[in-house]
Amino acid sequence: METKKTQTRHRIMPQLPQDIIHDILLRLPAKPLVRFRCVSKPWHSLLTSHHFITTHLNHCLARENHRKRQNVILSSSTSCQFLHDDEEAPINPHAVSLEFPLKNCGDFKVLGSCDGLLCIAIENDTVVLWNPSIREYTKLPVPLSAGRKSGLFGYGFGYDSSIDDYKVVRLCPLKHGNSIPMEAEIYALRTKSWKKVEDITCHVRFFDQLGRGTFANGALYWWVLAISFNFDEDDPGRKILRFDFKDEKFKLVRPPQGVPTNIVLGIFAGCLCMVHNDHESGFKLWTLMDDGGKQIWSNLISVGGNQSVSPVLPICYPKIGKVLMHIKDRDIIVLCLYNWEERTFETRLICVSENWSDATAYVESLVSPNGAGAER
Amino acid sequence: MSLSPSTSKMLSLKSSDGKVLEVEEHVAVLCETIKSLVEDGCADSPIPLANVDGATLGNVMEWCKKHADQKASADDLEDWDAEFVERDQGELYHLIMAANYLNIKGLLDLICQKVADMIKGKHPEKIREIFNIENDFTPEQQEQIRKDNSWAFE
Repeated sequence: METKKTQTRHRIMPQLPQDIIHDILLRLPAKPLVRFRCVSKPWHSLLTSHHFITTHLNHCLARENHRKRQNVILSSSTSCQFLHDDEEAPINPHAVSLEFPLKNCGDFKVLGSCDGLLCIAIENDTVVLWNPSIREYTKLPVPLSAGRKSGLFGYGFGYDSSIDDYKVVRLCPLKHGNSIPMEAEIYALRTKSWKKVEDITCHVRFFDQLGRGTFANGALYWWVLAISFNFDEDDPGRKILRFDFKDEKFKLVRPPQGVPTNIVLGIFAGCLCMVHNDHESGFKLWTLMDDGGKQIWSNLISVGGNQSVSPVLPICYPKIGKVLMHIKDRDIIVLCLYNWEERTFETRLICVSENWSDATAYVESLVSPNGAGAER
Repeated sequence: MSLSPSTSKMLSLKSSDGKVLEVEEHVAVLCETIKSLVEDGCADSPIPLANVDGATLGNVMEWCKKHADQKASADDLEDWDAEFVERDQGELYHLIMAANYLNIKGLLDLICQKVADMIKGKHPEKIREIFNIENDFTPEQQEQIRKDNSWAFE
């Protein structure tokens, strides 16, 4: 009896100051934090507060940056899987299946990921924001351009730091063919409504089959073929279509010289990057820097490529290049690590997974798709 | 003021239970609280540390000594830290309180992470017990929150 009492006493941390408990909780994954909401009323208020959610998010982002790791969501039109990037477990044979909250809803597409929120389109006109870490989702109201049968939609999802809000962007031509202009509308999480923004003065076709934009540095980017214009303001061809969240304007950015069509967009140290790999031109990576409103490309990597793999998602950090690659015709996912000093690649098997077609970078968070945005 | 090892002198630290520990100055100044005293020239007599007992102070200084060693590599420190935090909750509690009082960010981060790893699989009842928290929900409220988030209890 006596021993048991001593053990109990030793297991207790009687008077930890609030800020230390806060500091401990920030280091927990989302699941226990959801469970701990029922510890007490003060814990419930703390764990659901805007301040805590924001600090927790920043903590998760900083940790990923520090560890140079990035979790990934693998998706197909019927399933989502979570792939944990963990160097201590070099081979992670099975990605974890995530249960999509809307059952039997039809085919879905993961169109974007930001701060733990996934933007998902079902068929063409239903858009859902889902945070799988806290299992909350919200179905957005019907877009203004719903019902069009153009089949050429573009989507993007990101965070507007100027007003601390998450936004979905939807692009859609008025009718079939190379019609001008393309219309754009935006959904803001706080206002919970769609609004029309400035048209795009050219007709674009998305190289990405799903029309997904990549969010980097306060803007969305799409790799497009610009085909017809309202004015003689630009020449047709391959371009990066850029949408700035702050001024809500579209702009075409010329790609670097000699860029092939089959590239993928990703993030490099907070900036947009493009990656290409084939046996002829090897592996190449360019980054797009924003210099006072002007976009400048630089070629950071140019090495002999690996013929058997194709890039699906560049995940890059300064001094270390990581590119998630898919071995063609096989259900194997490898991570290529670029060695900056020796200019070589090392390939590491991280996952064997069937039934996926797309990869999206993902960070865990408590950010609710129902409106409580996180301030950064 | 130079705080490099070559010029380091000894400091006396006095714990709450009266134990006096002689520590090299470049080790002790990893505690921001002690560093300020040294910089203000108030560190001559044994420095009284009223909130830290002798055993805990010994552990804290062991950590500081390892982390003041400039020859230790990052990997080496990581392994050493992992072993250092293998303690029971009582000891961890005293280490957290001491790291907070002495203002040693690295040690505080380390122990907070250890406690976080320790509690992440626990149920709310256990959390209340560990942190000595009173459950102020009515059984109905409690049930509702559990029901809304039942997946997190699986």
